[in-house]
Amino acid sequence: MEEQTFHALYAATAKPLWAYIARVSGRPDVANDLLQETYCRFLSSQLANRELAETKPYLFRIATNLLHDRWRNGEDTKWSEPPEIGFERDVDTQIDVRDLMQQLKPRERQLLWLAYVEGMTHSEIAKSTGLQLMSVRILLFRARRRAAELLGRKERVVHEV
Amino acid sequence: MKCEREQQVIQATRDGLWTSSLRAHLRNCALCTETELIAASLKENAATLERQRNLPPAAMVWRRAQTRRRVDALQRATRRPFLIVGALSGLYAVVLLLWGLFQLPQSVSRLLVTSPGLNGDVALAGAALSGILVIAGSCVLALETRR
Repeated sequence: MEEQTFHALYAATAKPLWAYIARVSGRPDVANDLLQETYCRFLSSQLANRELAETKPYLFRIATNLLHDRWRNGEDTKWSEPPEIGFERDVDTQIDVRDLMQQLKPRERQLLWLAYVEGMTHSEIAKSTGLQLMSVRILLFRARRRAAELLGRKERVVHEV
Repeated sequence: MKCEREQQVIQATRDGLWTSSLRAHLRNCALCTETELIAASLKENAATLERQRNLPPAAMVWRRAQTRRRVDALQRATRRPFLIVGALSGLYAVVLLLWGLFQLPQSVSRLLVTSPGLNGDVALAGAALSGILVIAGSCVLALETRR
C-alpha cells in the first residue's frame, strides 16, 4: 500500500474506529494506542491492498481482537472515562449515553455500537467480532432489549421530574 | 420479536433520510421507536466524540507501521541464523559435557597436586572453562531468540 492511499484510508476510517474503541473500552486514554496498533497490524497483513468496503470490517476485527486481549489480561474491567469527554447530555432525548454505556457489558456495548452507529449488518458484525451469525442475532437482541430498558427507565425518571 | 423495517430505521437514523411511510411506521411500531431512540442516542454521542478528539496524524501512524515492518523483517531474517548457531552450540555443549564427565576429574586432581605451569591439564581446564562460557552464551541466545 502506498502512503497516499493509506492517508485516504486513515481519513475515512480512523475517527469511527477511534470512537468504537473508546466507547467499547471506556478508555479514551488508551484508544489512541490501540488505534495505532490496529493500523500497524493492518499494514503488515496481506489484506492491506483491498478495497475500502472490505477493509473496514477487517480494521474493526483487528481492533476487536486488541480489545479482547485487554479484557483477557484483566484490563478495562472498570469504566474509567472522565465525565467531560464526549458525554454532554443530549438536549433532545435527555439521555445521558454515558450512564447507558456504563451499565452495559463490554460485549453489549460492542454489538450495539457496530449495529446502530456503524450500521453493520449481522453478518458484518459476525465478521468484525468473530462471533457466529446466530450468536450475533441473539446477543444483539438481548443487548438491544437491555439498552431499551435502561433508556426507558431513564426517560420515565426525566418525565417524573 | 423482530420488525422487518428495523434495518431501514437504523439506516434512516444514520443518514437522516426518512421517507413518509417509514415515519408513519415509526409512530405505530414500538420496537422501531426503541430502535430509533437507541440509534439516535448512540449516533449523536459518536458524532460529539469524533468532533472532540484529535487523532494521531496519519503520517505518524504510517512511519510507526514502517518501522514495525522493518523490525519484523529483521527478526525474520535473523531467526534462522540464530537457530543454527543455537543448535550448534547446544551440540557442542553436549559433546563437551560427555567429554568432561570422563576427562575433567582426573585433570583437575592432577592440576591440584602438581606444580603450577602451562601443561596439558591447564589447557584442559581452559577448554572446560570456555565450554562453560559457550553453554552460558547459548542459553542467553536461546532466551533472547524466544523473547
